[in-house]
Amino acid sequence: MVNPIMLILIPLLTVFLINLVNIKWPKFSAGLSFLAIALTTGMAFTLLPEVMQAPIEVVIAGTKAPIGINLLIGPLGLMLSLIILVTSLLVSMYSFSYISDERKGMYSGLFLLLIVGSLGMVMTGDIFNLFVFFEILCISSYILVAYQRNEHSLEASIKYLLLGSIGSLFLLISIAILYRGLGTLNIADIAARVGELPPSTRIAAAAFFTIGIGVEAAIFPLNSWLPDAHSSAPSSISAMLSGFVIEVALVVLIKIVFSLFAFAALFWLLAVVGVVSLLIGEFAAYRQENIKRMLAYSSIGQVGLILFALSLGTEAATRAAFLQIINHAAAKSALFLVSGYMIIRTGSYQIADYRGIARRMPVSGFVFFLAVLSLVGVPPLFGFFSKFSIVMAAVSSGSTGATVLTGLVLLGTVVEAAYFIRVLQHFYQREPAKAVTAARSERGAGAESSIEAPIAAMLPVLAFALFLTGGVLLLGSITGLADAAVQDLFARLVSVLA
Amino acid sequence: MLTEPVALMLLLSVAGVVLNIILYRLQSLQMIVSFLVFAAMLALNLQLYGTIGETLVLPVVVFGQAMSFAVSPLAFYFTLMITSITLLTVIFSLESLRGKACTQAYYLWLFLKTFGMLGVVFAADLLTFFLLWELMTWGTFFLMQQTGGESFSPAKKYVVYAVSSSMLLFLGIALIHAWTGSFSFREVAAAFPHMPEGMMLLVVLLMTVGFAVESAMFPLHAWLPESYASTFTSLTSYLSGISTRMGIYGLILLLFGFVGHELADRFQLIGVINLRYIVSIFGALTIIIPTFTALFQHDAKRLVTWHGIGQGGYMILGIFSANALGIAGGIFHIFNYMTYVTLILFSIAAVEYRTGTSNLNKLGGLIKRQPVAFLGLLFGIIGLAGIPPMNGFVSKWFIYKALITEGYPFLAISAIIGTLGTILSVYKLIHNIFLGQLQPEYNEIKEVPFLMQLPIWVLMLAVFATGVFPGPILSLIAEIQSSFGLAPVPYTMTGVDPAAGTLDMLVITTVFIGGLLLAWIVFLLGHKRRHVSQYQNYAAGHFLDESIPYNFNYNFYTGFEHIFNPMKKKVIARTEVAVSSLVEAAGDYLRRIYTGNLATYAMYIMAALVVTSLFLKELI
Amino acid sequence: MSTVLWIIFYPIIAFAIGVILLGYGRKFNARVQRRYGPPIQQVFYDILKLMSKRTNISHGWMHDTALVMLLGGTLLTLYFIPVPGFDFFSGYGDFLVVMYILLIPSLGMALGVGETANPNGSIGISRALQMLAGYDIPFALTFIGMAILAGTTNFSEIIALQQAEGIFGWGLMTNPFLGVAALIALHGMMGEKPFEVMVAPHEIATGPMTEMGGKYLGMMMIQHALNVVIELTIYINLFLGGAANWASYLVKLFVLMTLILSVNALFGRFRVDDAVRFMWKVPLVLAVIGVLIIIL
Repeated sequence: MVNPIMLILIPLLTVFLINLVNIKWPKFSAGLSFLAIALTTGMAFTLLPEVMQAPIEVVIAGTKAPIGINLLIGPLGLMLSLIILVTSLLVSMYSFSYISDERKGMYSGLFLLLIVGSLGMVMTGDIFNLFVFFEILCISSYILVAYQRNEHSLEASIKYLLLGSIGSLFLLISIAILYRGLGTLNIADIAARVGELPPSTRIAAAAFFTIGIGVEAAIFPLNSWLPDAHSSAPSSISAMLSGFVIEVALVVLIKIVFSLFAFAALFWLLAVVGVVSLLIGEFAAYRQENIKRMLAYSSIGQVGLILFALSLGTEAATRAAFLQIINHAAAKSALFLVSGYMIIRTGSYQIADYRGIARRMPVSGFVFFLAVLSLVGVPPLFGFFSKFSIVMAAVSSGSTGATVLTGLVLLGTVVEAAYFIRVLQHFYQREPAKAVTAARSERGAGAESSIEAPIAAMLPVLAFALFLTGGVLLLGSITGLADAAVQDLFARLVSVLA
Repeated sequence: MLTEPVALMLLLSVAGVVLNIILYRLQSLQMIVSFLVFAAMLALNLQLYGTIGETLVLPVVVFGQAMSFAVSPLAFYFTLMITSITLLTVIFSLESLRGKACTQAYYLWLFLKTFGMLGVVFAADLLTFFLLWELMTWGTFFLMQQTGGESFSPAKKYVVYAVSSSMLLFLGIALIHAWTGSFSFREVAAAFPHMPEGMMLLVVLLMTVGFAVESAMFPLHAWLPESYASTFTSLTSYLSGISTRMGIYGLILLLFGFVGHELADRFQLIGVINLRYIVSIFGALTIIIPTFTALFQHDAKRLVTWHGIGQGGYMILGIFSANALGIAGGIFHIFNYMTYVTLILFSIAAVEYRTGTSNLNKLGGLIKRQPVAFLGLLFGIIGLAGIPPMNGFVSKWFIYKALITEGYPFLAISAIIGTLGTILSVYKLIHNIFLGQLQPEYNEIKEVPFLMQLPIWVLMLAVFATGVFPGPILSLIAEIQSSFGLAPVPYTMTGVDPAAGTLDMLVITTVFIGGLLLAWIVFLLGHKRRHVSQYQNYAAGHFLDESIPYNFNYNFYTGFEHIFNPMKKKVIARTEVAVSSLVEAAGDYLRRIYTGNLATYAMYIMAALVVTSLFLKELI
Repeated sequence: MSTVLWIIFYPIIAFAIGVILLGYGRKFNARVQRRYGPPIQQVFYDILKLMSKRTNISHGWMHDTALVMLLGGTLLTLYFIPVPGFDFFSGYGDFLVVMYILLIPSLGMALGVGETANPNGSIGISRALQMLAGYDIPFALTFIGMAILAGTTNFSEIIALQQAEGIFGWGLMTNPFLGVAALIALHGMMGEKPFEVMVAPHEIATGPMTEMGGKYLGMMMIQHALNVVIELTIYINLFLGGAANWASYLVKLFVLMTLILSVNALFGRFRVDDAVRFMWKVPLVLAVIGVLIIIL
């Protein structure tokens, strides 16, 4: 049997290895990281049957909880790990050709660290460990955002860094409050004894925790760094940040809220904030002319939707939220990856410069089209089913408030459809924009030839598209996994405090 | 199970999509394959009659609901329309689109759309219904922008309307499911009357508005004219003919399948004014306003698409009349409308095929060059205007009669006003295209090829035959009414039962033909006629030749323009602009939350912390 | 048997009445203008002359068909309107049918005139159609009112109901608003002054008739004669209690005709938009009041 700790150790060790290899043979670094991720992904899949039986607890350094540090991998953790790993695997494949400068080695290392941070966050059973992995995640993403070293990305990175630090600080404060009150850092242990804390302490801990992790989870109004960061990072990194990093933070937030701070009021607050995020994200995206900013705002909207579903606090809604996380990971990653090569080919971020691009990049255009329809929720794509289940679950929760919020969510969908359709129509216009006519690929050739991205970059994108179309056939097993994850999450919920 | 016609039809339409993807660049193969598949579908559809009442459950389970389909009389009625009109469209397109650019995806989307419509009509549970409904609306969207370029912006408008309508339906379906715990039509219908009043009203409102958008009911019709008119004309006819009517299908399903008249009447406001009546008022407005808008159009296709909106109003008036005759008339009108509007648009397409324009100010006198298209248009407009002996009259008669019987004089007069407005604008249509002076540049054009004439002849026959013998269709409609537990319409083969009203189309037609014969004899009594050219014409002493335009078609109804111009407030267009600029302004404003100023951002975080703490403190 | 005889001879009788009414109209007009005027049978002579002309100009097959449609449609309408002793067909088509078959001749004429490719003709048709929308809306509303009042749309039943109560059962008496509204609308329908914009000889060279000559014009005049009878009879049937016998029918026809001719003699010509505005103001408002009285 595979020890789950390997999931974290392999990428982490590969980082060191890459740094060594990088000195002499920088061009192997990308391949190494791809192999490491592939290995880890394979291992994660082999864990699947066992985890579905019972969560695995791994004790590190020989001491048991509450004193020792432990990993706790249940279906929830594994599901998220799989999302993280599969997405990263495809993105790292895309990076082979996309990241072509001499700093490849650094990129690959940070890329792996980002994965380590994410995996650690979802697997750890210890709240301080959570903070450590959170920091790994954040710091690697700060650097990756600045990777392109231009004015925008540096500015975005600085902002992200400062705001992220405030978040980390709050997180730390929250952990400190809990530790001072209970003398333990093990989450299960805290959960069992959290009732001993005086209410005001609990509230303070809850507030600091929510806000702290909320910065990374891009909850409104803590997401102000996001449009800059996601739009100025390399597209592959944007795909990762949008595809799973915010969602991981979000699920961790909800997990902790479930086990430690199950206040009904907090659920309501988060649901409302989720819908507000959704509306702000979608409305702001409506006015974007820069494709990556548009996608970034759309991510704010989507994360709002997921937060809304998660904080409804019913099993059906949570399951639906997990489906939506999967849909968003696939669709948004595909969108960012496709736009990455469009930017390279045309040299522009402006949607107006992409007029008619789908005729010269037919595969990219088609994938973009599918991903957009899936995000909007068009059958028979995967997104239809996730959105459908969110709405069904929200409305069946029976409260008027949830129904009203659902109405607003649906309004957001209309706006989303409007701006995405505008982009799609631009892509399929007959008269190409100047930037499109002028675009040349490395294969050379004239104004009519294909300027499609290289095959190594297209394969992962096609894989995402294939998932969005064919994912429906896997819906049964995905729902099974999501169900197990829901059970895992709800097992932590003792009772909701009114 | 897969040998059942329902399954085969759905399978064939999916196969059509796949085959068209495989044959993406091979236009002629696409054409032949599509034709064969649609012909097979029509053949299957005819077999379907024997299986009415059967259900089919696919082994696809989504959210605990197996996708289920059923063949109800209503479904049969609609699928018959869908498959036959699609086949005619395909036959027409074989010639009209041959060799044209940008048609690779034409049949693909046609199949997708047909699949969606068939699925919606066969669906026996709300989940299947909604899933395919969505698919269908997106199919419409893709069909609309087939010609690219100018068709994109109206298609985008359609998406906004269609997605909004889907979302309303979505919320309605979610509420129904939350209350009844089931998607199945039968269980939903059984549980519906036990819903709390407020919830029921909300659901009915959401779904009515949702379907009203799709059926282009005033004031939610503004997406239709531009988007239908800017695609290929063969698609304009297909979309106007059947696609818009899926909204009516939804309304029929909602009103008779779930709610029922008794419940619909339960939402009383003041006196006779209940929900049904309010919808009818919107139906009446749907007739009048778009019909009079059509009057002032300068483009043949746009003129007809505006009528498409207006005719929907008749269906609504009929279906919501709570009268056996009226309901039958409303449902019958769907069929009639489909036949004559496709006929009209095919004829216009035939003209466009030869002249390259559908601009009413640039054509004229084509009767001498394209007599078949002229006859097609003539039959079509007689149907559209609702003049005997064509089928449009029969269904409209049912509706007038029902409204008068039920005592709704103002709804009845709106229907008649609509008819009068229709007569005016269809005369303008036929006059400006086919009558008046032939323009010199069209002197050499010919009639369209046989494959394009064929659908025109078929539809002419249909428009006339179902006008004189409405019985066969009415028998189907009576079955539909019985299947919903309504009183069936008292029909005879040629009209209505004398106990219920006075209408016998066969007698009327016979007398008409007799009158024509008599008039013909009178005509023959005079001396032989002599044909002259269009330039040998009274021109107050001037001599006419090709260089002198001697024609009247621009601003055809000058008097009405004097009357109506001050009334054209473009309220809806302005509302649309207002809403879109509101969204834009909201976007701009909300975007400014992200000022780019780090201090502000930090403030947000602090503020969020304070608010969260206070909120939690207050509520715990 | 008598039905067959009626079917054969009724068009001839109606034609005779129509010709006499038209002749009477010309005489009446002349006398109002202090002329002597043509003899009453002059219209008949005119028709005879036109039908036997040797020069018949045709602009195409629709032009020919139009005349057939014009006269055929008029004959069709004629049969469906009951007159004393002959209401065989009113059991197969009610007033709603009549209202729409009345449009067949107009449509036929409009198509034929269109094909003559003379703008004067097209302008005339455009005006005629606008007038149609003008007068038909109030007229249809008065009919709907009467149908709701009578509980039926069948002509014979409406007539029977009116006759059951003598002169006070007439539509004009039971609901004068509707009666007056319909009378004004009828005036427009007859195309008499001030509503004769469609012909307007001084402006558009007699509009639809510009390119008509010989037997074409002859047939138009035959149709006109029949049409006058049809329109007056519709009004009589709806508002003047129909007619129990031919004597009262003829009296009612002539009285109504005289009324319309008198108004005609007094007025000039309205512009088309003014005419339509008038129709949508006065008679329509009257009709709405009448209908409101009935349903409230």
